[in-house]
Amino acid sequence: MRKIKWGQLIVLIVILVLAFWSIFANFKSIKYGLDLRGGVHLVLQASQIVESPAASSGAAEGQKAEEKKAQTPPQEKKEPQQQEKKTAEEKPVAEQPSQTETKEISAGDLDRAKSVIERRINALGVSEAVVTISGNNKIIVDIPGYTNVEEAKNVIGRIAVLTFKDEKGNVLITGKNLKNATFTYQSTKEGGVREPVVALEWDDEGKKLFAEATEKNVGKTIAIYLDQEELMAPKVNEPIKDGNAVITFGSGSIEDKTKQAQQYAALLRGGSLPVKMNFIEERIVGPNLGRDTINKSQVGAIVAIIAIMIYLIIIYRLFGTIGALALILYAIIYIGFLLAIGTVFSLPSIGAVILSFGMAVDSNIIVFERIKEEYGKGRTLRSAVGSGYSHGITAVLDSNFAMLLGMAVLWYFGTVQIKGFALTLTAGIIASLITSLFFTRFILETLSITMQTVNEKLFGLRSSLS
Amino acid sequence: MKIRPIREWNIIGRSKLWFTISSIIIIIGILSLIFNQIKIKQPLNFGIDFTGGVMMRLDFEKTADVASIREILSKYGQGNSTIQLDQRDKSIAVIRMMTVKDSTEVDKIVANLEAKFGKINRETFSIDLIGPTVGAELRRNAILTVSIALLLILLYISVRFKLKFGLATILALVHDILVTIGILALTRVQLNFPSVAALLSITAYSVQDSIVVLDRLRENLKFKKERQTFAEIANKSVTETWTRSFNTSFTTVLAVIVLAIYGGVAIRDFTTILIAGLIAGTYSSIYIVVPLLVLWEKRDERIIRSVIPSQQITSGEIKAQRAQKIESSKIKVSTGKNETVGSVPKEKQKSKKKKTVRRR
Repeated sequence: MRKIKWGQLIVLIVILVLAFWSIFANFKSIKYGLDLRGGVHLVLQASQIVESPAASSGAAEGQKAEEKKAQTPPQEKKEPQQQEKKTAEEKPVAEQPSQTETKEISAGDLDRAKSVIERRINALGVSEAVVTISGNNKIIVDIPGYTNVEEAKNVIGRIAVLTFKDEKGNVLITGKNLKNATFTYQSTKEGGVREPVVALEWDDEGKKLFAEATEKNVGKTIAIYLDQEELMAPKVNEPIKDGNAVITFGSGSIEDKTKQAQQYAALLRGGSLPVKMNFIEERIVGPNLGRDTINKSQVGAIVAIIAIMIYLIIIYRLFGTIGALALILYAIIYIGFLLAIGTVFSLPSIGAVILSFGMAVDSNIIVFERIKEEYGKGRTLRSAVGSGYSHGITAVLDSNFAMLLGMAVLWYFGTVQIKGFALTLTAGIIASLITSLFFTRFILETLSITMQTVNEKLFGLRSSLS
Repeated sequence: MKIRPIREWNIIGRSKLWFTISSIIIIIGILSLIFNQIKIKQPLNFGIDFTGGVMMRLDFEKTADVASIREILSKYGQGNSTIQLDQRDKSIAVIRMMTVKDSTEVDKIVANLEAKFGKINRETFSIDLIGPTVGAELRRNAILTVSIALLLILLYISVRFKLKFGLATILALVHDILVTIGILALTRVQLNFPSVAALLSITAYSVQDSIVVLDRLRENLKFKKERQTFAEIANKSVTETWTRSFNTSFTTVLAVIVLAIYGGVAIRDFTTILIAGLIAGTYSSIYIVVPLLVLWEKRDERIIRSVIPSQQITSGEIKAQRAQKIESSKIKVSTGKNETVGSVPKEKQKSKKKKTVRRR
């Protein structure tokens, strides 16, 4: 004598509550892809600039160089900067980055380029722009709700202008003369305390200009601008003749100063990116173009569900009605699930959602057919339901598992959009297994246990026993 | 009280017919590919995601006309562009240019078009510019992904079923892809990025479908009766699973058709691929996978005793049966008609002749 499995019902209710909660929590902030909400999608490919190795020293050498002992701080993992590994004694050995780096784009360069691009896009005044690194040499820029692609490309693609200005705003020197900017440590004059600094290194012309500039502005500040933005305005303590200067950071904890120095060094270097960025893909979508598709596909999803429900009820009668109910629950669980994992809806993923609705009922159909067949062999309804599940389940699990396997491959090897598609279908498969195993099974088993007589017409059943 | 005989369709017996139908469709597809290669210089209508180039959807103030647009494009050496106007709204132009290098050129062209037809609506336009290297990468990626997926699925089916089952499924999958590609060549549906996703889901769906049929075959083989041939069991299995195969696929096709109706132009190409692939996949799971397996089994051994190790028959017996087989050339594989193996009880034969083709 089988008993009603209330445990299944409880699991189902818990899942449903979670799904509802997710839908209500996320409904207002559904994320749409650029193809639907409009915006600019740019793909940049980095290529190495072939540079002739510079002759002079690469190590940062300040006016206090004799005191300086650079070392690699532990926080520095993210930005490989070969130079800081050197001590002051080694500095005359020419070790320019352009020499040591291969033609391959290093992860560090790409990271640096990414942060520079992010900064520049923020200057556009757009929100939610996403900059991602793709593969080993590409950077993808997505700016939702923005269509001025020329402006965006100008801002992203231009060579950053680094300018040094005096207090009156006169340009003293520009970034083109800056050979390098590195983060390093130096000991202060007073004690032996190591202090994080940014070391600047100028080319020959830059040395001259910088010497002049510092001579005129002793005791005043020189502001450093990246594009139109003031990065900092350090005070000039003394004229710097040899072109090697360090920027110190006055107050704050060592950690803060280290962070600041690292950031500024990267930004100053960003003025002269070591990689060349080419635009290889540009997509612009007007903000209203996709709105129509969003509305239509919402209606489409509802119509699809209703069409499938009607078909199920016609073919499978009472079983079909249970299957139709299961489809509604499925839709709730599936949408809740998708919203919970923060799915970005683009054209392919909307396709995946509707495709999932079509496939969701598959496992139920397999089981319904099996039950009909078992009943046709002369079993009672209860026995038919039991063996329908025990036999049908292998087909359901095997076929769904093969599908999941395929999706896993897509997810692993696919591009960003393909990954989204695979994830959406995977969520659909899981949601369909949950509804058919927890809802349909529970209802059918409960029905078969509690029902005393079986109305064959109601179930669309035909027994061979007559 | 009597047991109603299970009505069977003679599916396996008409294997040649199914193979012929598929071959014809695939040959038509291949011919279309060749025809396209000659006519439009590429076998399939690859969109700019694959070929690189520029795709613009411009919504002008005034009504546009193809000839004037082409005239303006010709000034920039883009006279061979594809230009289409929206059927309902002639002020919307869809232009595809093949050889544009940078966006400044595109901007000049757009500015020129705006001078002629009025400003474009900045809310509802779209411009895609794809570099030539992107497409090659996409193609390489798609082929790599499909190959790995196929290998894994083959492995999975071989473990869960048998190697032969896996091979038959993969062959059916190749069939589905060939049929779909053929239909794509015939209809010249434009292939872009979402098409890859559609093709990939077809492969997954086709496997899913085949597994439902194979699962039943596996089960029937386990409980096979004495003297039942593989062909008989296979035919029984496909007959039993036919309705569920149809219904599971039909609900999916139903959803995709709704998507095609409501999804708008943007989604139509995507759905065309899906519908073609779904139908091919359902067909192949019944009419290709199982007949293929029967063909193989027929070649190897008549009776599938080897499936159950305890009933292993000796090689001598197999040889004898093979000899028997060769003697009676041109045997039909069909159940009932195949009298070469043992003696099928007369009663059973009669019941089979009563087969009706009607089935709900």
